[in-house]
Amino acid sequence: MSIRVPSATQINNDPRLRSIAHAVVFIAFLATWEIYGRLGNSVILPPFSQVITAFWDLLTSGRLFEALLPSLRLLALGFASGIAAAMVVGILIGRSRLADLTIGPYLAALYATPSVALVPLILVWFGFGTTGKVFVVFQSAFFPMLYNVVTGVRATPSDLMDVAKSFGARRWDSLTQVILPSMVPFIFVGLQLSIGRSVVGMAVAEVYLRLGGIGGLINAFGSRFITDYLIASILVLPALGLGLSKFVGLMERRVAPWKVV
Amino acid sequence: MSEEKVTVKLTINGEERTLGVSSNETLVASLRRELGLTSVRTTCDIGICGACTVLLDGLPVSGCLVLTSLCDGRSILTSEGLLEDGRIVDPVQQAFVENSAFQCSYCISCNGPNGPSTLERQSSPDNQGDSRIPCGQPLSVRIPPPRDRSSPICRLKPGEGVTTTMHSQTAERTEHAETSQTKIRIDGVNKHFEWTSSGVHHHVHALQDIDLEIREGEFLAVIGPSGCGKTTLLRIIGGLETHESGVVQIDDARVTGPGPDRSIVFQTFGLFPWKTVYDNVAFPLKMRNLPKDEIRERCEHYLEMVGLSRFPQSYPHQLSGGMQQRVGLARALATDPEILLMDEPFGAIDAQTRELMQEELMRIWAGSRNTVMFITHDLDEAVYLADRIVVLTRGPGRVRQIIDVNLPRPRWEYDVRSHERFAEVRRAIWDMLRGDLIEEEREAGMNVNSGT
Repeated sequence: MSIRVPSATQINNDPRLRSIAHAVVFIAFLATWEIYGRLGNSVILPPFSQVITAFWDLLTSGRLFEALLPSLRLLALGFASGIAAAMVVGILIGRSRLADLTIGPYLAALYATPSVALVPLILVWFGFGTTGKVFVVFQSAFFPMLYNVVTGVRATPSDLMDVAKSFGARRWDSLTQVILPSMVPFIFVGLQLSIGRSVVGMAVAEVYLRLGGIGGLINAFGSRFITDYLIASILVLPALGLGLSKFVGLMERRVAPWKVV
Repeated sequence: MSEEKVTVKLTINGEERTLGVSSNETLVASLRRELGLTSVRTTCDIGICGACTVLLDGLPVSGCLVLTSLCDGRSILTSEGLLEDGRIVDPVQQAFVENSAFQCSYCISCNGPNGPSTLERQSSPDNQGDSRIPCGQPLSVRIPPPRDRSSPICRLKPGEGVTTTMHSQTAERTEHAETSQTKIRIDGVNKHFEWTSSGVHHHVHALQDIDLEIREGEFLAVIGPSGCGKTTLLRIIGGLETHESGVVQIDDARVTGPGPDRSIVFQTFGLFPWKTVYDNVAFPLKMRNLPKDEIRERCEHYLEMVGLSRFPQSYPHQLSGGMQQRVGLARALATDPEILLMDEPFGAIDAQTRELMQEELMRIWAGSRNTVMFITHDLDEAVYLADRIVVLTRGPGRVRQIIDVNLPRPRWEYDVRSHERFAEVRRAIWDMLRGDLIEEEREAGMNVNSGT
């Protein structure tokens, strides 16, 4: 009796086969991790089960929650201010050639600078307080959003701008009735990218600028080589990034019902 | 409004009678009042403000006035209400008529050049063998509701409106057109476009010394080869584009930008995909800060007019191309514009739907009578719709010629497409365009050759 392996096309088309494929790879990955961890040094790579136990301990002892709260506060502050600033600056640059020519290059330069490299400078400017950390998150959220906003503004269909103008729309009407709604897809791509980058920014800020949060937790476990707790803390970050990003995607469907076909 | 009496001579069952018709009431009402006739019917032979026939007990009457709105060949007014195909469709319309909500118009000449009505055609020695205008199939009718305007669209005019002599349709219409006023005056307009792309400087002379007068209430079509600047001309009138020299005036006021007196129907429909059908139509009204109730009223009214009252909450992508452009049309009409600028509105719609939409446009326009400038590249469309056709030359766009179409209205009523005059006008335009098109083809070919 021969085993019939489904073809790639079959797997792509059948949702049941697809979830089976997912499960197979996932289980194989965890099994490899577990076996390798048990065979080798558990400080280098603790087995998967040990990480889960550590995670459970963090969760039930309340340490994770305690760390997550200031982290989320930092994330929210930096993200919100970054998005708001990116909207204003993006619309300005997208609509005005002069603004693009004069401030565009500085923004591009700042974008090209890794935020880690700025950390010492931020430390000198703002110290260990909240402001410096918020600034790091702000910078991470700002740029992905900015460039999406600029592209979105420039992609506003000129015929719709003409329609608005011909029916008596003023500048503000054109902005709220035409430019902003037509930008919605770009705004959401920007938000999704920005939220991911913000989580990274948050971790960087907390690891390098100390003082609590998930980053502080990671730093503490890392410096003491408690690898299972370290990995458990690290795993919170991608979970947070993916979850928030997914949430933004769900929001888009709510905000832009005209895109649902 | 002052009441004016007009004397109408009628021939009823061979007997001559004189009837005083007040300008504030309809002929039908007058007939009923003065003659005590209950079974008064009207039917239209040639069309709106053309030649109509009033039937009394099924017999044609000569010398008549007919309600514009009812001159559609199929609707018949009786004492019971409005009849369509012998069935009462709207008793309420009757109340409208009696309250003089309908404006009365002059319709001249019974037993018009082509005999009495379609429905009750009678042979007479005068029109035998005269089949210049075949009678078309009766079609469904949408009656435009009364318009809230300070000045009526059509009023009974003493002396002008009534005559018992036979008129040719053509002469009458031309005369009518000449007396009407200039709505848009374009004087020596030039337009250049200049831009640089990938280091190459481009320069296009789009319009050259355009002189054109568009009359109040006329349907003007503009036709020309692609790139002749016809859309640019429309955009200049619409205030969306500037021009270098010359003057564009509407009612003696220079055009400096878009205005509430003009509405544009766009080739690409120009609907906001994020707004529902209703909100799209409401957009220009909201921009004008009209009260909410009025916005709702107007939106419902115009959506009804274009047959979309069932889809106010749909999004444009859920509608077909034809339906989308109906929304575009409703939106343009919602502001009650004096001038309707239409930029190849049916160009992106399939042929059959297009024909339907042309017919519908004619009906709506028959009720509103705004000044229309209609850009098209479709010869048949231009001839079918327009009073006059402006033919532009290939770039730089200049006015090559202006042609009077002189076809009877309502065009949907008669098979004007198979009319001799239709073919004649079409051929004339084609002869003008042909050379330009061949040249265009040749140049396009040369570009391809030099490119390879």
